[in-house]
Amino acid sequence: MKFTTEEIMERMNAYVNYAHRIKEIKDLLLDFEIYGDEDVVMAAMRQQDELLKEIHTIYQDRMLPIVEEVARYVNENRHLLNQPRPELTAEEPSQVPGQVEQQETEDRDAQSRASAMAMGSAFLSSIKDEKLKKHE
Amino acid sequence: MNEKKQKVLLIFPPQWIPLNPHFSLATLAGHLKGEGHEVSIEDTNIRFYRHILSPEYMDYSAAKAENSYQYLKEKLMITMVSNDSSLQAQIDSARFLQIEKSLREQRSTIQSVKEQLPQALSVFDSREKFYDPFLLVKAFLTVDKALEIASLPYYPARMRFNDFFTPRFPLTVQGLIDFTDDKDENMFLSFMKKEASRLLKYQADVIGISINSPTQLLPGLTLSRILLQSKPEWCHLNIGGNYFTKLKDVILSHNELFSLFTDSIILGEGQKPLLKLIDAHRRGESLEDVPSLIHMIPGQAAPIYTFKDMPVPLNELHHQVLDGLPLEKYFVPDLAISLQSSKGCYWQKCTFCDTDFGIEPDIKSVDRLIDEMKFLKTSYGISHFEFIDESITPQYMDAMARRIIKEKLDVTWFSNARTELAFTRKRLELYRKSGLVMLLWGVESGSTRIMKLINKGVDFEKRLDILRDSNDSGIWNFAYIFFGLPTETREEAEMTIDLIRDNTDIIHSYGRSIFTLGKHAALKDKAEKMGLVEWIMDDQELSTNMGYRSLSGMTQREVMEMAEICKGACHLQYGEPLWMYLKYREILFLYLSHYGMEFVLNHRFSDEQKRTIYTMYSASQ
Repeated sequence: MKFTTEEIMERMNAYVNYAHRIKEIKDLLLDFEIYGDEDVVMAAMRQQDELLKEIHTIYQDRMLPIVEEVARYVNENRHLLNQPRPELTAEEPSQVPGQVEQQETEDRDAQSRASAMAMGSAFLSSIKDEKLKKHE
Repeated sequence: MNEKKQKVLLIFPPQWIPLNPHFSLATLAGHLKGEGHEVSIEDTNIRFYRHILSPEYMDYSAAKAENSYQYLKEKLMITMVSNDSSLQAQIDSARFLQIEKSLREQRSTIQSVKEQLPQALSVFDSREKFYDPFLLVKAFLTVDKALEIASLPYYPARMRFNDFFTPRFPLTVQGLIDFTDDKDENMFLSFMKKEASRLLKYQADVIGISINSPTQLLPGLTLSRILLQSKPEWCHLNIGGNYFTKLKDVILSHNELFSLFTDSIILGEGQKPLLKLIDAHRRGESLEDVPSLIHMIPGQAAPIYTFKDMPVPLNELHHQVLDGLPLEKYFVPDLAISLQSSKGCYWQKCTFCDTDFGIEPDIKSVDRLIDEMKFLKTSYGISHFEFIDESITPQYMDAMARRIIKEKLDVTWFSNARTELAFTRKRLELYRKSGLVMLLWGVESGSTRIMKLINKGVDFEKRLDILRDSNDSGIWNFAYIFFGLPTETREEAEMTIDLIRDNTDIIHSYGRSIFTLGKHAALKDKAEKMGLVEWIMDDQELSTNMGYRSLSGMTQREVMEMAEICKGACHLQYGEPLWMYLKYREILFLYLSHYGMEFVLNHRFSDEQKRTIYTMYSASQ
């Protein structure tokens, strides 16, 4: 199984779009109001069921296949992870096969947060001046 | 010809400080009713505040924030892998972190705010609790934290009691198109959808939405967009208010405003145009005879502006009405209602100001004004008044004060004022006797050069004597000051700080602001001619201010710094007085009316109370 970078990104973007749709549905459900005549209540409940089913379908039929496909790809190309990275210098210790994945998984949350913090700070400092400009 | 009576619905959208009904709504409704129309008024601003300031909304907001959090977590992983450092990625990151902080680290705060909220809200409804300073300050802190929680899913947008700040929203027509329909960024969208369904049940023939401030732009146009899509064809939707008055050229160049947001826009004062519009609509005629109107004519490529006409004279305006407004829902137990004795500033020469742009100067007779005060008192039990005039002449105030005393109106009032020598001690005592409790003076700056540049036209040296006389007459002196006029130096800003610091005995409170250059301020041309500024390419077409860089004097960062220094220095000098905690001038006015000046000047919180306040304040930062 071979993917180009573009193909991987395409799948990741699709994954994010599905995640966004799930957020949309969950927000919709939060705004749901079930009251009124019996017919209205029944219709609203049916709609609610459909929305919940849609979340399930998106997870099962859309997002999971992407995860499985990408995971399969990573698994089949695990050897690539063992190759020395071009940016590593000769002095740096080579990584032990098998540990790379583990370590990356552990670091992923931290990296995600660190990356978020760096970008978040950049954005916040850019809006800080604008905020200060506001009259008291 | 359709001669059926027209139903009119006037709407005031968020965001505005929810302490009283906005003058524009009450005065327009009063005039239309006086002319025989069936008018309903809806303050969606107060409805929105009451909606989001509820324990249920705290749960709703936390759940919505959780949804955003889960989505952003997934999205940020992809962002990281793809090395995306776009603005959107930065915003997502900032939002993710803020939500994480609130939901993970401060979950107990959300729960405690939810529990405290009913008690805090009860303070605004009870006279006894409201005039207990400690209870009131705590209530405001709880409300502010609740507003922060309500804003959380839309971070960095932030709703406050007196502001709505949304740095993501560009003041452009495209920004309006994008944001009014964006579920992830627009905290008003879901509320406005429900409001629109409710408002359409009025089956109004004409709906008017009043936009007077940039903070109303996103919520107001979110509502208008939904209404335009869902209203019946026979209903005409109009936007008015003084915000768009300053943006005529921009409106004329954007057809999208009329396909997406409204059928027409009225510029300037709305009474006469709206009456004509209602009449034309009833008759099914074209709108070409409606003055001050921008609208699309079928077959035309661009919107057209009809023509300018003189507004209804103040003396011919019917009194404002408050019928149908939920007067008990405003966050005060005693309403201070806005009054207007004149339009436009009688001085009109300050170079830095364009607040009366597009306004035809006019004065209401004292008879008419007193009649309106009596009407509001008898009809709605109002005895506190806030004059929204740019400034009132001492001579007019004389006549007004004498009549208030003669008629035994038993009211309190406050107003803006210029430090004119004509404000003599004798006059100020007369005003005080009539119920004046506070004057908001345009002190502006401590530098003679700056005062000259803005052409304030007051005696720089003697203005402090006027403030002393005012203080001695028992009137609270509030001083407007600002920093950052083009070319202002650090030393000149320090003079302003010193002016306040050295005169805390006669300047009882102050409000500082950062200078912004209005697109229609006289200084705009002057500053260019004198080489004071260079213009910065301004892509915010819907902003009413110019983008500029001062060619000398302080940088923008230094200006901000001086404003902060001012805050710190004055905080120390005043010794943490009550007014600093009361924050809003309407609240200060009510406290002055209730307790008198001495109480407000001398009241201090105990150390224990201060500790409680600081703890709550820190939690809301």
